[in-house]
Amino acid sequence: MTDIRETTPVPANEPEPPIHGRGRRAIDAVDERLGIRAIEYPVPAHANTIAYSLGGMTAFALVILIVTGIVLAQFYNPDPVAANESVRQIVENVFIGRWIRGVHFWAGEAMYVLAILHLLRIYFTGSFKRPREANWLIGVAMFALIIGALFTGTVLKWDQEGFEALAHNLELGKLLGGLGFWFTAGFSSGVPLLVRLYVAHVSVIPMLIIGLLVLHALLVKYHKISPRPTNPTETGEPRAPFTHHLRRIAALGLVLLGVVGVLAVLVPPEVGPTPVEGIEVTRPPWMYWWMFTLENWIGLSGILWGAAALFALLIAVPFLDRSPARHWKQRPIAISIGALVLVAIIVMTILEAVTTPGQHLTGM
Amino acid sequence: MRHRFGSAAAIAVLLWALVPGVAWAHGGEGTDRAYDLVRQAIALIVNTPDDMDTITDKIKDAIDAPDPSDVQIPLVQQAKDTLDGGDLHQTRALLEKSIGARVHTDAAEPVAMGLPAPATGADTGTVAATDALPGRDGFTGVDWVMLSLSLVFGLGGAALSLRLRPRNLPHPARSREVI
Repeated sequence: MTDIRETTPVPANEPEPPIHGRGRRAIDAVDERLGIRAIEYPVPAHANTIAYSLGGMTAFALVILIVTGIVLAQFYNPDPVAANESVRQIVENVFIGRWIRGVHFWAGEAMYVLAILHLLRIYFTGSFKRPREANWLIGVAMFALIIGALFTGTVLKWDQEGFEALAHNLELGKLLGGLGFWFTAGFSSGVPLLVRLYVAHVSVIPMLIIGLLVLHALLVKYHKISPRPTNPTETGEPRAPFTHHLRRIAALGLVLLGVVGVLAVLVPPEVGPTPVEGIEVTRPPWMYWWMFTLENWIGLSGILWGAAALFALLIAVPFLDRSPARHWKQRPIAISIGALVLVAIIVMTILEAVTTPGQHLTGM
Repeated sequence: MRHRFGSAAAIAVLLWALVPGVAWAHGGEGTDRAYDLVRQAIALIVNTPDDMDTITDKIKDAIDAPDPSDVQIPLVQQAKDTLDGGDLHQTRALLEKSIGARVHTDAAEPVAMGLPAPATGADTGTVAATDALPGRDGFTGVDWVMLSLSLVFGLGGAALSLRLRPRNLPHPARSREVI
């Protein structure tokens, strides 16, 4: 069945065709008071391709994370003495607790991957270029916050892997000098670091992500969805209301929910042994492997320099690649540098996967 | 004058912010407490049971530690002898006993015999490491229900997204001349 709104171009500023009935009258009544039809603004049809829906899918992953996170927060105890045990209780004694934790875990992984794919799509199609530079920077900030959410989530399960992740950050905090004050036990000596990381994970980081996401979406609306480099004038391209794009995102989001739900059943994450300080025996989660290869090469500071270099590059992108050209064939240097960085990260990730975890923390 | 003061203040803040602190070791840097070393030996048995050399070294360190308080060293010595005999399970049990932890019986054990002190700062709150809890050990009825529901979500979403996919995009090859 063909959707009429896809086959018939909808002129700009024209809302979706009216559908009569009780539901529509209810929407009309709400719209009269809240103006919800404002989101029916027209967007080009290519917005509904998978490549241009990656940002929306990342947001859908965030919704899954918030819903499952709220449930998990009812049973998680951030006291270091009880944290690991409370995760075991969630898995073993809370109704569908193992599945909810599994969905939370896999949705976090999915959000990270989708954010990277979204970022790569923006980079390789030149969608960050004028006038969208600010939105690129907001996206980079959100990507940093996603990494922060993954890190704090890793620590919260309070097993040996999580504690060693925290131990790395404690030492990196020291390398940062005064800027790393938050990552010292002495900053708030009466409160366990785990509690402070829990507050960051369930409150500070999600609030910042949601705030930036709202700004990101408003700027997408303001500047409009960037045209494809192969058709910059959107010649002959039909338009559809933004609500149609939302439906497509919801449908793709259901696919995502299905995939993470199946993974949560078939490959649920384990709960590692309770942590003991003074040993270093685990491998970090895969998304940090490339940084740990740098650590193997140049020591603990390699993590810091690697992450700083990557984010400095990401921030510099709109300032360095300023030509109006957006097609990849017209940007050989930018595309080559982007591809090189990507390959380097993949190679360093593989290197960490095939080597025995090294010992870098002092006193190990 | 005000300009100079501002610059000096900015430099001072930058120095404070950027000068690295002294390398800091969390937990057991150069620990001379047998208690910590025994806990580390137990954690090594739990996390890396195949690495016998490191486990042996850690137990020897515990026996020779200058501060043997809160540890029954004869039990640690006995644990070393048991380890030499290859019985890792008994070694772990003896080490747990030596620091007053209840001997492990399942994934939730061992725990402290008494109430542990409240954990602050970077304390782990762990007396002796517990075994890992595997992600999965057999399928239950609930697992089958959640698997079926997830498949319904995924397949339903796939069908919907196929129905809503864009179908009238101008082919890139046809619009290449605009590049």
